[in-house]
Amino acid sequence: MALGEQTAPASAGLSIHLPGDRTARARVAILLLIGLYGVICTASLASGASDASLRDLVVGWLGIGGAETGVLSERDRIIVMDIRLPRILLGSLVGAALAVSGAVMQGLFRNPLADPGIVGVASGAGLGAITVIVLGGTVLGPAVPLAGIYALPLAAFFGGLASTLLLYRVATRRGQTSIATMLLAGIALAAMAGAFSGVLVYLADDQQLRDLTFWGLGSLAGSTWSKIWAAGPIIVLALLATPFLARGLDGMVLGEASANHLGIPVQRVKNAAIVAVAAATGASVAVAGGIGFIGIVVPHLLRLTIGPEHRYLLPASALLGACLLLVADAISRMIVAPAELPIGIVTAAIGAPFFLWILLRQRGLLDL
Amino acid sequence: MSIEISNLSVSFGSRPILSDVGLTARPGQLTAIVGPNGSGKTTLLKALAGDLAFSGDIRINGVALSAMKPWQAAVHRAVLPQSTTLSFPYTVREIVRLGLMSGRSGVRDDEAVHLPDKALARVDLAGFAGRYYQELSGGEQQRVQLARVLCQVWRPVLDGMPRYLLLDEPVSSLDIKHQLIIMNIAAAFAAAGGGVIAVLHDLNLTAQFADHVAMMHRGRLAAAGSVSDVLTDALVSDVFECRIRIGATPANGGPFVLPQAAQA
Repeated sequence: MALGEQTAPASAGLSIHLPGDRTARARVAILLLIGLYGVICTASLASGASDASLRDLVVGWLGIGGAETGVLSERDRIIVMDIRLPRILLGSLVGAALAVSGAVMQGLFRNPLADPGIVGVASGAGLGAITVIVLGGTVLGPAVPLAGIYALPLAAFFGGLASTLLLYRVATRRGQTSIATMLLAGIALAAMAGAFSGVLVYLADDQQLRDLTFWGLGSLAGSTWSKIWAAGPIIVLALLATPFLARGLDGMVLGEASANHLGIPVQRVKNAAIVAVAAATGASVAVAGGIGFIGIVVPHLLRLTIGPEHRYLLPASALLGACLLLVADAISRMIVAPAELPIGIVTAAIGAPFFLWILLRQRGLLDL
Repeated sequence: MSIEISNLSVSFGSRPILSDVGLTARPGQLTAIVGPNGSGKTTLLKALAGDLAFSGDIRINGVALSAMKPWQAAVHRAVLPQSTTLSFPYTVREIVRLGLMSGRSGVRDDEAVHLPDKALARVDLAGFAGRYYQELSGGEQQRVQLARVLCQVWRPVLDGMPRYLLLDEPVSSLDIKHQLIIMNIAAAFAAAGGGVIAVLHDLNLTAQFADHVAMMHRGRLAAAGSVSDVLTDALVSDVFECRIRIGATPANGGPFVLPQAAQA
């Protein structure tokens, strides 16, 4: 045992390198992501159809040089404050929500393929949202004004919650999740939600149909401050809850029984994780529609670089998710400018091949 | 201070798996649970670990298991499952470190940083901390899990209370060198004042290491006592339904079982 007793002061824990310890790397990665996010935000704020430059923005904002110089016209100010800024904020919120939902769900199901978009949770949330859009004026007439701007995100939340609970009940038996059952149940859930949505679409009038089509493809166009006020608080609350789940999700990778042996209140972690995923997914589906694959691409890339420990994976996912969605949004605006492509098409075009690549790499691990 | 099981019954649906089992596992001893396949050994261990609903009473150091919160139970006992597969690329250190989660290893915080390395050295995996868990062999993975479990209850006695290791077939996927290493770790834990309950398939390892043997048969406790009380011609032949004669080593008369001595 004499060999094992180190004489080095153990308080020097930060300076020593322990093999297999990726803590330092994860911290650096998070700092880099914060920087990257800052750069992307600044670039998005300063680029677009208006030629207000970055310098003009800063000058105009700070009022340097006095108002008489008038570098930032009233038109530019409106473009920046009421079009670009809300779009960046909403994109960040939705990107973070989707990526973190994916990471939490994958931890909960102990499976890198679990993603709200793939296993039907987003479809359930979509059904909730469609119900409000189509029936909001008639059948649900009295209830919708009561909930105000929160009607849509709340309905999507309950739709997402119902499908997550159902999925967990079907796919998990005695603490073990069967991958095959999970994916098949997801297909069934999505089909079921699709059928109900189809009925509602059939009932919709022309204006509603146009709303639905655009929304269904996923888009950040039409980002307004009111959408941010509607979805923002729900997403922020859900994201703030996830760091408290990190320890529990780490324990759950060993299986529910072993997590329990480690002292983790498994049932409580599961409940909290399901509510957080449903809230974050529901709110983002309500304001931005079906944006796929962020939740599967982001956590997977991060696990390869900083490791799967959730206390770093979750915040890093939020940052990279926000970055990726803002970049995808920029692409969607540029590729067919001056028109724009729904962002869901861009994320699917990038994400779907990536998903196939994960499948290819992990074929051996899937006990389908 | 012990683990006391009384009138323990477990059933899946209407099918009884365990009926009216009573057993006491004392600190300072290695209690082996033996018996044929399907006799209820693993179910008994799972009930002890708190994984299953049961009727009857299980007390750990005098406190009813059913009244314990997960984090309270985690201070008293650590559990090694039969096998653990992961779907994420954790390193060995990240897995072993999970054992420190309950925060009651019994070592100072500054020592805890290096505890995973010590635990890995104990299970003969020194230098494996940086490897990926998924790339290890089954036997190596099993020893990584044991290192994690050891971290959780590193001091066999904490605040004057003995702690327990619950091991489900700890040596089933190991070669003979590592079987002996693991059994010696378990024996040392008991010698230091902790308690060990291990489901074992190997009657010879049981004879060599166990202080107390519980023999299960069709969901009931067929016999419990010292090695020489339980590993008898009559009991073994009866419970395992295989006529077998127990040998005695020339050195100290310890019992052993030779499969070649079985009669059809």
